[in-house]
Amino acid sequence: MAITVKVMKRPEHEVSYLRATLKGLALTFSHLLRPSVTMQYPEQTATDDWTLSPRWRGTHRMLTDEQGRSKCVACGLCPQICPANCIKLVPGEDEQGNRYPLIYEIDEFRCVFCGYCQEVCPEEAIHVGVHYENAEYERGRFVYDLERLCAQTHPVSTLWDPSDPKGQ
Amino acid sequence: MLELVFWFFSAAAIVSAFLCITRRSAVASALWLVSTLFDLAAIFVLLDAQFIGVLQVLVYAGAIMVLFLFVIMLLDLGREGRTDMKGSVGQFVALALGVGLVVELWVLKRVMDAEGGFAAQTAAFQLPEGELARMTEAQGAIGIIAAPLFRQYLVPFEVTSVLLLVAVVGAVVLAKRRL
Amino acid sequence: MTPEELKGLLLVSSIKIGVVFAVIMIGVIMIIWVERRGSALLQDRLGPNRVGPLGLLQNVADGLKNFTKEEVMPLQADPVIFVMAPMMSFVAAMLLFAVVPFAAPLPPFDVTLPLIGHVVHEGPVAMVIANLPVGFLFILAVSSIAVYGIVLAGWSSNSKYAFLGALRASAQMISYEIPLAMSLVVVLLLAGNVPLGDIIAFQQQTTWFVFAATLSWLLFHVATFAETNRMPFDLAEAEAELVAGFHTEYSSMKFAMFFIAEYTGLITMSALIATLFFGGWDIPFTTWDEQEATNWSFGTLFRVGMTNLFFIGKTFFFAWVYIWVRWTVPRFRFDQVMHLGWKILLPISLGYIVVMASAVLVLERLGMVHDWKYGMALFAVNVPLVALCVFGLDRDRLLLGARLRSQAET
Repeated sequence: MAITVKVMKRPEHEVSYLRATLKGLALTFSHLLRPSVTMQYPEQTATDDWTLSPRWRGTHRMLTDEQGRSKCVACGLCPQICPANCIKLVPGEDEQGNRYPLIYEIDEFRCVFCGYCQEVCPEEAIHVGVHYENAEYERGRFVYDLERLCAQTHPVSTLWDPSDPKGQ
Repeated sequence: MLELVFWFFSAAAIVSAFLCITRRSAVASALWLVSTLFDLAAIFVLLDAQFIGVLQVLVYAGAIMVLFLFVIMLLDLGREGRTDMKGSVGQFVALALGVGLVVELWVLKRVMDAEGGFAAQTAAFQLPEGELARMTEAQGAIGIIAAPLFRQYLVPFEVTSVLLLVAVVGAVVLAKRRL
Repeated sequence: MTPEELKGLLLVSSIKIGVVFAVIMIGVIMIIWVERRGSALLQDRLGPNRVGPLGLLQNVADGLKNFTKEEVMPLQADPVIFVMAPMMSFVAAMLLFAVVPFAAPLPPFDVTLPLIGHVVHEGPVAMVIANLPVGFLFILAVSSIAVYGIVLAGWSSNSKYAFLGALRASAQMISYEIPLAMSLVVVLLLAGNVPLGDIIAFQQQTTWFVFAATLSWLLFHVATFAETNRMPFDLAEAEAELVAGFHTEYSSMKFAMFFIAEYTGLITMSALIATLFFGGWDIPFTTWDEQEATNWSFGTLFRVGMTNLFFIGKTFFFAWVYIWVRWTVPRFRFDQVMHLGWKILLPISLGYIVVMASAVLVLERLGMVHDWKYGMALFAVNVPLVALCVFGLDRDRLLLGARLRSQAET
């Protein structure tokens, strides 16, 4: 069965190829004179028109307290909610009975950057970051351990606030 | 120098023609035919008939052989095509015809020799040495062909073109079921 | 021909071949750079700008990459033809330039050089590799050979996509060779001969053929788009449908040869348009560039240099037009290509030959001499014809649109 095409019944004098092509050529030529919008990336990370959104969800960062220890209390909510199952948490407990993570690893390859971990965290410890330069030489380096998560310095993401949907 | 070039292209033409009829693959055969046509074009150019040489390449090598190649590829004859000559009767007939051709050529040569050789026979048709080059210089490569073609031989030329038209019409009639 | 003259001829020819080959290869690199940067500018981008100043060395880097890449031969490909096909494309593209004059002639010389000895060249040294008496017919012949490279590449690859691309390309190139040649018949009618040098001389005497044979220029320009397989006629490689068309299976330097051949074809076709319709190396509104070159003075050399610059400028302009059109116009459907070639361009070019032949005959009978008035009289004939084509044909008859097709079916 042949494919049927819907035929537009345009008046004959409106249908043109040559004149339309010339118009197109004029249009492309006008673009030649416009400034280009390319961002020179490694030298330039933001332009007037484009900066990274504060709600950008990039690689994670663990916030620390004044003593430089992670704020995490190993409650287990983030591995629970993580849809990609990328957080590995082994809780430990010190003499005072404070829980802390023995092992806290995030596999950034599995992560889908949904930001649920940040949303669910009661201590505001784990955050997704406003950060995108995360190239590595080996695959193994993409599993971020606790030390590395704490050492990150990039700004953290501001999550979507339902009461202020446009982020004002 | 020029003679050397002539021998080179003649040898190439003969070798290519031989390979053209002996190759099993139809595509290779067609390509060797193209090579033959090129060598012939070169020989035409050596004879100061540049226009004919270019037409040889333009029409035969450039258009007709491409269409040949086209058809061969579309038919997909395969690499190891069998011989056309089926059975011993066909082979015998082919052999007889081949021998007949050789004998015919030999007889023609004998007749020619008896009447004073090739040079004497064709002297009437031959232009003096370098005449063609001078005419090309004066009238242009196309002028020396075009002037006789469109003045002296206009009627045969037009009749030939009608012949080609007949072929085109015939092809259209055969190809199109409903006109 | 004395040995000194033969030596002079060989010396001049080999220098010209070497220089033209080098200039074309550099020109190809430049044109690819212009294509990349130009297309970027047309799309408000920057394009490659990392390798070398302004990204000029990007193509050199790509060439080096192609040299070092692995050559892949598809299983069951025909090895001999597979290797031969890019060479055929490459050689055909390179040969095309042999008959294009690129500057005013240099004066004759009679010198004794070290190692070579006494060399003589009588008469001006024409700035063209081979001043063939068959002129642009040579170009038509060689460009018809270029089809082989593509067809054989597609066939020998043993790949459906490559084969389909090759079939499309050959059908298209054979079809458009006819309007290409037919549009040049008018040029032959006007100039009276085919060598490109004579055509340039005639244009210097009268006007550029873009005035005397405007429609011919339009037809030729459109047909060259199809001959070089450029957008909007790049059905041979139509990456949306055929991966990369005939060179799908090619890698490394064999692919690069197709690439270079394509851009060499672009340069040659631009040079050809410049030569046939825009006076070649002629500098407009002046006659000092047309003087006979007699002695080796600074003035003569300056003249040759200037004419060469003008030729390069014109060629570059048309190359830019190719690039500009490529990044503006979308690809045709295949039936539209065939419709345009056989039912639009061919009848127009045939009818145009008749009209122009009558016009030339009338002007000859009127006893007009070949000066600028002659060209302008022919331009007056051309204007209504072009207007008829642009406005009359442009009402949905130029391309086989859906409406016309549905009419044809019912």
